[in-house]
Amino acid sequence: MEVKNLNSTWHRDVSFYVNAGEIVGFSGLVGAGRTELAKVIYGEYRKKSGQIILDGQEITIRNPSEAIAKGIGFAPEDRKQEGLILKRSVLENASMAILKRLSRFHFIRKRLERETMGQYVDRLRVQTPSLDQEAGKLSGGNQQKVVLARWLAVRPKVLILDEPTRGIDVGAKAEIYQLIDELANEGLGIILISSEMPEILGLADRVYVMQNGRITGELSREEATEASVLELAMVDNLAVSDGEPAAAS
Amino acid sequence: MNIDKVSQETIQQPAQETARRPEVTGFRKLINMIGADNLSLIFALLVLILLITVVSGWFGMTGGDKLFSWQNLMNSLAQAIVIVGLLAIGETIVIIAGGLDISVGSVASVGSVVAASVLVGVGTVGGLGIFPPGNVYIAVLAGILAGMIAGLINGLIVTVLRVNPIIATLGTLAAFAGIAFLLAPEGKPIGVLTQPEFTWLARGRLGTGLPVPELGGAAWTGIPVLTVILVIVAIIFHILMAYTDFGRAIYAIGGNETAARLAGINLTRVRIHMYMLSGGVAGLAGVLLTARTTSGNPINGVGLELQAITAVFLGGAATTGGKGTIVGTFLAVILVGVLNNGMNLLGFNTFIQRVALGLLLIGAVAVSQWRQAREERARARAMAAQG
Repeated sequence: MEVKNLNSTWHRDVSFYVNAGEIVGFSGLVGAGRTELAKVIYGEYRKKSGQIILDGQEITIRNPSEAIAKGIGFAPEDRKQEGLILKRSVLENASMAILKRLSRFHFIRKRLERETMGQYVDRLRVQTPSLDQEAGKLSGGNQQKVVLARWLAVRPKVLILDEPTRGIDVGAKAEIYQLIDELANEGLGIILISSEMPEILGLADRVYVMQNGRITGELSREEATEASVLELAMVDNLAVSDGEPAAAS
Repeated sequence: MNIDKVSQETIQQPAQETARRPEVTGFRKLINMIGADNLSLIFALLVLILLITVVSGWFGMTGGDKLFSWQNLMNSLAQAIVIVGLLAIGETIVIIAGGLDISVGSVASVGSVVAASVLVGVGTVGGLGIFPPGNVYIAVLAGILAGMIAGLINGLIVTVLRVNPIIATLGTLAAFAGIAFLLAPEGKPIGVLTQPEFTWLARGRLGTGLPVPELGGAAWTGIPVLTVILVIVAIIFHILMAYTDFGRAIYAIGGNETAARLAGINLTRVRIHMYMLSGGVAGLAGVLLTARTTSGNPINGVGLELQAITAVFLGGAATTGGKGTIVGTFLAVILVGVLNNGMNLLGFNTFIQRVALGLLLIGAVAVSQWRQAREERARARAMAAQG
């Protein structure tokens, strides 16, 4: 996937690309516009201009449902508010994005649903007494795994992970890192938005650094260090090129 | 793209899966199938029946013993619950989706007037000359269609204009009530007594010949057509909610709108379809009101929304959406019906019944809130325990 010259309420002239099988990290300070960028690409927020190109073709995405259809997945940062329906079961939460595939004439094929989702839930080693457990009763790490199970089932081409390990215990974190790696090896392009430096440095093949709605730099795996990333995250004068006066100061 | 590898990997470890998901059997399975919420409704119903038939006698009240007679069960109770039952079923899906439809009573009024108008060939719709008068099927469909159009309007106001559903349907409650009068000739009721095929909907009986023994000193006279219609609609809506992607979407939207949208559910489309369904059922209720009262009267549906909404919350739906079942609503409709019927039998006047209904609505929501708070705490505990 390639994004060219994307402009929106939050962003100015953002361009980047993700290859299949690649993990691309997005680093930056809070408020740099990374989550918003994910949501613009995903069709949740509007873009003003710019192109999104997938498999060599420009695509239009007006809402999340179109994004999914085109092969883009998005696991949001806030699991409780945006990711899961806490009152509903693990099964329902996990199968939400592929209901069409699991249905015939709008009737859900429940056995197929259970078998299919059971596989993903098992692969991710979700600790749950059953598929019928309320998602809200799981721990943070297991909740995140349910969200990931949903996207594994969709089999997108590009998966955007926004702070995938926020508020998760160490054991589950390691498992999720391993999974991200596996997914990339299977050919998925992964956009990893994270504020945790070790996560970015440890997982990403390339790192984009953002500040004030712009990409301030691109670093290869070798170039990316805590210092180089932080430097790009805090270069404020870069945010006010185009001859406009500095917003701050 | 090789994510299909999942299947092979997991199939290699079937032992783990079976260990983690023991098959629930026997009594537990039965309880799970009925649901804890519905069990408490059945319990409440039994207590209420006991109060009416036995306890009332201790206080010197008479008439409670008449509850269990075919005369009362089939003539009074089974017919009285139909209209409110239909409205409550439509209301259930709206409330599960986190909305509220206060306009159902007015939509029923519109359906009532439109059906009568088409049937007799008078009034605004019937006077158009596009419907052949006297055709019962067309009249029934016209009433349902009128309800669906009203529902479509509700849906568009909520989705396109982004008006809060309570305010939106409060507005259309007033507007549709007015439209019901405008559609009737000079705002007067349209009589349909001359159409026996139509009034059969309300007066007809099925299974009159069945060898059912008498009950409470009254002979079996068959099941009212009205009641059969209610049961059929309830079954259709139950299937819709429990087995289709539409039902899933309704639960998802009510549980967490943002999460539902981000998982690819088209909120606008689902909501519009939902309000059209709710409106269509309200329209059908209006048609049946016309058949029962033998007139398409613009005031036919007035005030029915209160009872319908009461039944939905009593049936276990959450005020915040995402929870509720058609079965629960159906049981609650029976509960409200028995309450009204029992109070009639015991000689309480209608004013006291209204007080009781109001208190029941508040009580039902209070219990639902308490239950939700308890679940929240359980979730928090479960999460804390798992770290």
